[in-house]
Amino acid sequence: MVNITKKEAQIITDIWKHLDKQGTTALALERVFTVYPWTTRLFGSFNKHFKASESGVQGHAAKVAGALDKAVHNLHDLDNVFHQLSEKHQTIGVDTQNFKLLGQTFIVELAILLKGRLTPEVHEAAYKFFLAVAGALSAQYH
Amino acid sequence: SGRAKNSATMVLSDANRQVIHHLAETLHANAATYGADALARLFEIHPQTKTYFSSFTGYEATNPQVIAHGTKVMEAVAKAAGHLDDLPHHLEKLAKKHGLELLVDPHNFVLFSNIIVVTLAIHLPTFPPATHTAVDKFLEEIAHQLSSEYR
Repeated sequence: MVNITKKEAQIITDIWKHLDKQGTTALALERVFTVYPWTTRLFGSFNKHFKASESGVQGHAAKVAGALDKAVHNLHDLDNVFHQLSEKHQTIGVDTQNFKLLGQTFIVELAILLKGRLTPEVHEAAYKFFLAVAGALSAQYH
Repeated sequence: SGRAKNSATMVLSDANRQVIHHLAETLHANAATYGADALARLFEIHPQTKTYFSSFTGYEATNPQVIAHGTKVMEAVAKAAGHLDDLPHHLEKLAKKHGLELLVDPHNFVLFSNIIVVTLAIHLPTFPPATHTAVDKFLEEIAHQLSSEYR
């Protein structure tokens, strides 16, 4: 169980507020598809078009950004927020490790964007956020 | 082709190797800064890693012990970048040290690799997916070698 503190919640909300959500998410997706190519397994319909600017990635980024937005606004109720999405991802057949990999590439995009402003404290808040989201997305798998 | 079997060059492509060679000098020149930053982040985000450093007086990037150890690690990574053709042989001594003496849980090498990637993303002028991939594969190969003398 990931315990997000009040201070971390504030940091997460603040980062998210000022972020180009669609843009950063699309870049994080391009990065996860490039660095960890096995994550493309269920995206055959993208026809090997995995760049951030391409329509498949943009479309998926919109969905992911929307879900992350909901998560940021409901940090203490993530299992509930992601209940149906978790079931859906299992039905589709997504390996839950993918959620952690996207978390890592999202943090790398934040690192490129924020540079020194991604202090160890902010880094930790982001890490815990994506760990909590990955956990909630995995929670309904059986 | 003359490349030894099981060498890192079997895993790393020519493009990957170019990236790593290009990066080696930067890692060496900034070993203290990058190393201390990465180690401090490891301690912050994965506090269980502090249990291997119980003698440290502190765990922030400004602590002299963190700087010293971080520098050591980053210098070793930079040096390994020059030994892609004989990585298992080059890392054998360090592998034995970690596997037989220090007994660091090998999972920590994965955790640290991910942190090093983020640290480089912060400090390098650019860090595109292709560079990220090469670094990730290189660090994974180091972690694999460091884990090879445990059992």
